Amino acid sequence: MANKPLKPKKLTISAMIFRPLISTLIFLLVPGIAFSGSIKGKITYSAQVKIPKSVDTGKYKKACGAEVPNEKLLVNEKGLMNAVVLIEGKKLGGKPGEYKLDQKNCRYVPHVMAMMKDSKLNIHSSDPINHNLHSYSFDNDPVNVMFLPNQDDFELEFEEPEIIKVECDLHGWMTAWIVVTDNSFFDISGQNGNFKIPDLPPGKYTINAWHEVLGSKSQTVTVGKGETVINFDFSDVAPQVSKK
Amino acid sequence: MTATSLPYKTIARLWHGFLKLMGVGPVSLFRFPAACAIVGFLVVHPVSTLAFALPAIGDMPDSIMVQGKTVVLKDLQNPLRQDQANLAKNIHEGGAVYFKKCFFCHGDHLDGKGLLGERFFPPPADFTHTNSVIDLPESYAYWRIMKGGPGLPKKFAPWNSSMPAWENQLTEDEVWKVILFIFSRASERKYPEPQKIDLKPSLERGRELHLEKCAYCHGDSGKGDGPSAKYSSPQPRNFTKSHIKIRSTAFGKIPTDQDIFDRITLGMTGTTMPGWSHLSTSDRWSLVLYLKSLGRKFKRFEDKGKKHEPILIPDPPPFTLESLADGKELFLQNCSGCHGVRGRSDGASTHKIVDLDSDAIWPRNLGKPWTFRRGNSRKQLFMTLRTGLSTTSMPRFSPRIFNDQQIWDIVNYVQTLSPPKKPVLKKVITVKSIEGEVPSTPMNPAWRSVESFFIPLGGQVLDAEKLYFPGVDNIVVKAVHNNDVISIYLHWDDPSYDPILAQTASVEESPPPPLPEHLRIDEPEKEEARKPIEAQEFPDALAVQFPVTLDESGERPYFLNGDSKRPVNLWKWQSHPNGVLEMNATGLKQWTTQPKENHLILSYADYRFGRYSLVLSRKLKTDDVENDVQFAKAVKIPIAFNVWDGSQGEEGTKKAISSWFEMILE
Repeated sequence: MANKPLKPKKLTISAMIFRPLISTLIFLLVPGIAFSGSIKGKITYSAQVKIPKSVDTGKYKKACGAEVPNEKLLVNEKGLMNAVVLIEGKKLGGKPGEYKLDQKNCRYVPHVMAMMKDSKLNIHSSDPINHNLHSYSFDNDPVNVMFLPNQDDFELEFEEPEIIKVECDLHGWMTAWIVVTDNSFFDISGQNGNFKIPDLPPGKYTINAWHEVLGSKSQTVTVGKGETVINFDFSDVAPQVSKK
Repeated sequence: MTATSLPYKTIARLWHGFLKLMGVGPVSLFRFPAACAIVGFLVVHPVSTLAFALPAIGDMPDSIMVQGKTVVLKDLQNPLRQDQANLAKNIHEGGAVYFKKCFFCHGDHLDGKGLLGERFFPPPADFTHTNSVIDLPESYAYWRIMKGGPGLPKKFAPWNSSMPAWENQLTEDEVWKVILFIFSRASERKYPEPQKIDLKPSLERGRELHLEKCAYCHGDSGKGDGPSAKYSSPQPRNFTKSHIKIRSTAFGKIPTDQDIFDRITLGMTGTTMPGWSHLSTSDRWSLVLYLKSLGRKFKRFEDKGKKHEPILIPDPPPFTLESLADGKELFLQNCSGCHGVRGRSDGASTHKIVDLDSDAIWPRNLGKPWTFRRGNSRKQLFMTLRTGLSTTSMPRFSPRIFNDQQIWDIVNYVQTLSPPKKPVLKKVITVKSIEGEVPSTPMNPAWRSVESFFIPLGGQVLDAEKLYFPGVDNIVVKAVHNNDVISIYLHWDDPSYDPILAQTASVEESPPPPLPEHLRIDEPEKEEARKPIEAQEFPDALAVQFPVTLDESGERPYFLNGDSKRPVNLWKWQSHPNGVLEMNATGLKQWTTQPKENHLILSYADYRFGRYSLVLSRKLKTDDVENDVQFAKAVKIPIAFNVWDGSQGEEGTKKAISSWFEMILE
């Protein structure tokens, strides 16, 4: 079938008014489709500190493996890993997600998680020995559950933004952190300290970076179209053990 | 506990049980008063034998010296009584003093049933019954508070009383305010106004009651930060977070209304939270309404249309030996990590979960069921295992983990870890006469046939530096003699022993829960992995106290380490260096050690699964009659105890103490 030559459509007055209005609305309401910015950056830590030693599991050698890495402070070429970067504000919204936390070789995988409130977390144990997962949460319902080998997974939902420490009361070295956020604009810094938060509507924001032993830093940022670069440097902070 | 404070249901249940036992048929209600009388008699009687009669008004001296000045007691008036404008404020401030200093013994309800109420005797004064100080002039209360036990006339045995003399610890203003508070609060209890029966529960009434009754501990805004919070362990609940420890719902879930109501009614056993069953039902429901309004969680729960999923307790199956054996295995696998293999909270992981500064207190010692918050019945234990204890490290064991039978198995085993009842307090310790050598070590089987005596201990809350929540709350004593040597056996539970003791004594720690066979490793622990053994900063210690000389008139040294006129002889065992010091004291802080060459006492200590055991032996007579107690047969010899839990920083005056007991050699 031959294509009909395109005939310029006659624009009605109403179309002339409404079309740009609708596209503007789409443009404003659907970030990422039309016009949105993103933030990227690097989290650095250049202070000289002792790298924490990995943990000798002693009599749990066969059950856990001989050593469990210590993940409290992971720095690679001055890039700080496992820092949670988030944008403050409830209005930003977003979509809660579904996440998985595993207890494997006597460590929590992943060690640091971030999720928007109302997200679901599925907790699994792959280990052949008992664990007990104990969350030190106050605004959310605290959790304290045993995991026997081959047991059903445990599902839970976090309703309030909060930084939650998770521990196993039976194996002292096992720790994880769950950062529950107000919106879905967050990231966790990777191996080289890099992070990226895409699809952010233009505007002025407060951006926070939090790390389990270095604490948190905050900056304000104006996001327009395209990429905005924000870096955080924690080098002036001495590592501290966070309180429960 | 008196009959009046027992809930009706409990009394009725006891009575029904009693009748059932006697083979009597259905019970009609009019028998209830008789039941009350019987239960009341049984409950009150053992206490009344130790009761203490208040001195009469005629026993009050005409004048006393207070902080260097003479105060004439006759016609002395409370200077704050006339200040009507500030009366309510002054009463309230007196309450704040009361809930920091007095409530440990005299109790939240001013009935002498505070946390330490049963630890010392004579028991603390009850202000709400007959012979209350509130029926006497306020100058009388002023005298009793300022001069305390040591200021009692001789016939009232001032050496036995644990009432401190507050003259150097409280200002005169504080004393008058606390008197205002005691008179006002106790008369509400003693002469209650008739209650309006169908007062409907309301938030407003709840708020009013909270401010009046609960805020001294839980704070005006319910954040758990009232004046007494610093003096409470566990600390008062913060209601704004809506977590309640004892519930019928799962760990971390909000409690049902009935759960909150029950906790208000019954209180928390073994803590500074008493039961409030004397408040009307309507008032207690008003409190439920108010407490729920303090946190966001209840409203959100209702807004979302959620429903509680309370855990139901099935009927317990009959007890079997098979269930007991299964329960033991389950316990070792799943509970011993924190509670220890004998249930004395000395598990391999316990150190990890205990942090007293952050109110993460020790797991319950399962050998002391009278300290269980919820209670020790099989159903109550079932509930605790199924629900866990929110805000603590006690997890819940849901049906996802164990079926009902397995929970009952654990319950059955846990109940075997303790005596069925709290041991009865006996004031006289019999020293059994035996033939041949006295046992000189704790594991000697000869001790098995010797009667045990339960000695409660309370914190040294009389004088600075004080200790409010000692690590050790009781000891158990046995004693024998063979006409030549006396041997005293003592044991006490302390979940953390002094590590250096392992070099000089036999020590057995609770092992971690067993691993499945295929995951075990046989190789010994690496040398470098083991920490170098260091002594605790403060040793664990126990001292047995006797008067140096026995007074035939019955006068004794002051129970708290004697006084200048009457010294005491102390046998103080320490974990490091492991051994006994023979000491003398003429007061809380006036201690001296006898020269080493005079030391004659032999000691043998060991530590097993959360428990220290110690045997001290000495000849009945020594040459040093000036400093050593001399034992004679058939004479009442006063004996008291001091215990230090060094790992909790206890040393010097910070210690657990007992009242005077008596010992008689057969």
